[in-house]
Amino acid sequence: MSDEDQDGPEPRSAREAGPDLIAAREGDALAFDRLLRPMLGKLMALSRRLTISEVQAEELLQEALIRAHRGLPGFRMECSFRSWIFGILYRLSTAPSRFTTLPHKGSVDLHENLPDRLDADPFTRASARDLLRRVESSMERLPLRQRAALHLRSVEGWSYEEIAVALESSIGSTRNAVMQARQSLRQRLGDLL
Amino acid sequence: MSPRDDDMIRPEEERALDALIASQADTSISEETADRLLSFLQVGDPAAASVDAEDQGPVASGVLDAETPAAGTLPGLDVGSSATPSRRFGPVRIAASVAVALAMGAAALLLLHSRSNPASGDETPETPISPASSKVAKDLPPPAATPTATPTASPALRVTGWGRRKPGPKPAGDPILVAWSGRWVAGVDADDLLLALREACAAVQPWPEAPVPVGRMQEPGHVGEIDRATGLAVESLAVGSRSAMPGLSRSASRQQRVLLGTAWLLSRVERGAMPRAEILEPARLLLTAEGRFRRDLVRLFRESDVRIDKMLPPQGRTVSEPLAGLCGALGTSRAPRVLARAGLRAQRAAIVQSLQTGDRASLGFALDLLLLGHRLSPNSDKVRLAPFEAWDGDSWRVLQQLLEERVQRSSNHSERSFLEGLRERLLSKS
Repeated sequence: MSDEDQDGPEPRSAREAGPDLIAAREGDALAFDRLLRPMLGKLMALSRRLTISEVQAEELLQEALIRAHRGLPGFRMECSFRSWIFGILYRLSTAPSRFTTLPHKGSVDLHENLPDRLDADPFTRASARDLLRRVESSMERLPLRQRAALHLRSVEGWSYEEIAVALESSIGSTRNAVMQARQSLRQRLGDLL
Repeated sequence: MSPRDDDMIRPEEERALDALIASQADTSISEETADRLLSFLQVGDPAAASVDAEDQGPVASGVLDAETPAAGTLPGLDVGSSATPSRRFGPVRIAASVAVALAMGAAALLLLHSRSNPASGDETPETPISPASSKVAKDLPPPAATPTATPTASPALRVTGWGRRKPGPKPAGDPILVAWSGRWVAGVDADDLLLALREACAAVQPWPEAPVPVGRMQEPGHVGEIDRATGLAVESLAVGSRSAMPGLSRSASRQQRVLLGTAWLLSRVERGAMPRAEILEPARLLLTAEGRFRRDLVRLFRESDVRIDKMLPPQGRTVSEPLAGLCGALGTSRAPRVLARAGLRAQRAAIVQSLQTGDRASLGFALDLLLLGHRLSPNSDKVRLAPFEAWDGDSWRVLQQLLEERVQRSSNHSERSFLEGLRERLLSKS
């Protein structure tokens, strides 16, 4: 159905939509690529937060991209495009157990011990890795909804209204989720603040 | 400052926390990964794509797209179509059409094979592939294994797009154990794992129900009890040969299975993927477990972030004995406040279980519950003290230390004399 066929006034985000979004909705794969490529890093960051390994994060994100591509013609532009696609990613992560299983405690991720940079001194490297591990493990212990809400608020700087759209919840509930997540993290990471 | 005020996060703490989280978030993505993620679009040179589409067509180009219609629906061969009377065929023409279609299909496959043969040196032409077939991309090995290949570039993979997605290689060993350890196994979902955990818990129980005394086994209604008891006893002694885990006796293997399953379940509950009530199955097992198995189970429950005290009902409501027992076995520090107002049976169950675990945390729990119960209903002290009197655990010294600490901390004369009385009784008993 084209935009002209829809009843009522045109949604705000439709007026603001760029030519790439319009073209992508009509099936232009190049436009879809141009539209998505700049936000892949941010999507991947959320995907990493919601899963436990890089492989699962990629798998989850690709699944979300495929679904977004399929569902784009039906996107009614009632919300921003980024809320829509981040929402797909979040819902996918909550639905199937394949993306949310935890490794058994004590298991070792072989990639975890590989240094990112060989030029840093071992102490700095170890401290940075320890900090990253602490933050990640603290975030992993949060329920998915709190984790996603806090990530979108703290890392992406979204408004509560936009987060609520992506997570399909009310603004009050989203505020509450972010607050609870912060309280839990303060308990675990209080010494770092 | 009230506890409520203490929970509030100050703005500077909020900013520091956000900055910490943002500094540890990785928003980078390599060009290669981005290409791989978007490879299902197969965005190539539009001019080349239009040439393919117009001049060659999917079959002529040697690529079988998943959305390409089957051979029987190629133009002029749509068998059974009722589009126009002139395109209706009789049985003989239908058979001929099918034969031609099969021949064309075989030719296309031969052509495909010859083009995909590395020895031929031909490049596979890029053709747009539909999102419906794009799941094939996920069947590929990680990028390290195929650094130069895009997921949909292989003609062989496109041929697999005709059918359902092929499952990956089966994991070595028991798929349930693999899935419990956190890896995704095709065809195994959370319900299967939960069921397997229940079965594992049932298998560890030496007696599914209360054992019948030997003297009553020949009475009517208990025929076969001797055979069953003998079978269980022999089974529990069986070592090695049929154990699911190499190197472990059958009973140890079953216990390891329960521990692995419980760790998986607790991690699911921690993350909110399952309700807390699901943990009651392994919790019941914990209440009957002894020795090292009990210590391992207790350690698993304590290390998890599942708040057992949150499962307790509001004050004034009946607390189930297994739940009270679980709080006692784990020595849940917040539980005595609620349990002291619960029924005496629940209190007794909690104290029995805490003494059964017998480490510092659980013994401290038992003393706290004893003391709080004494404050609220001193007339029922006898019920709460009975488990202490009957206890024959080997942690006397720890209990004495804990009692001493509480005597010193207590500022209430009545409570101090109550604790001192208990200490004297325990000393005389030991």
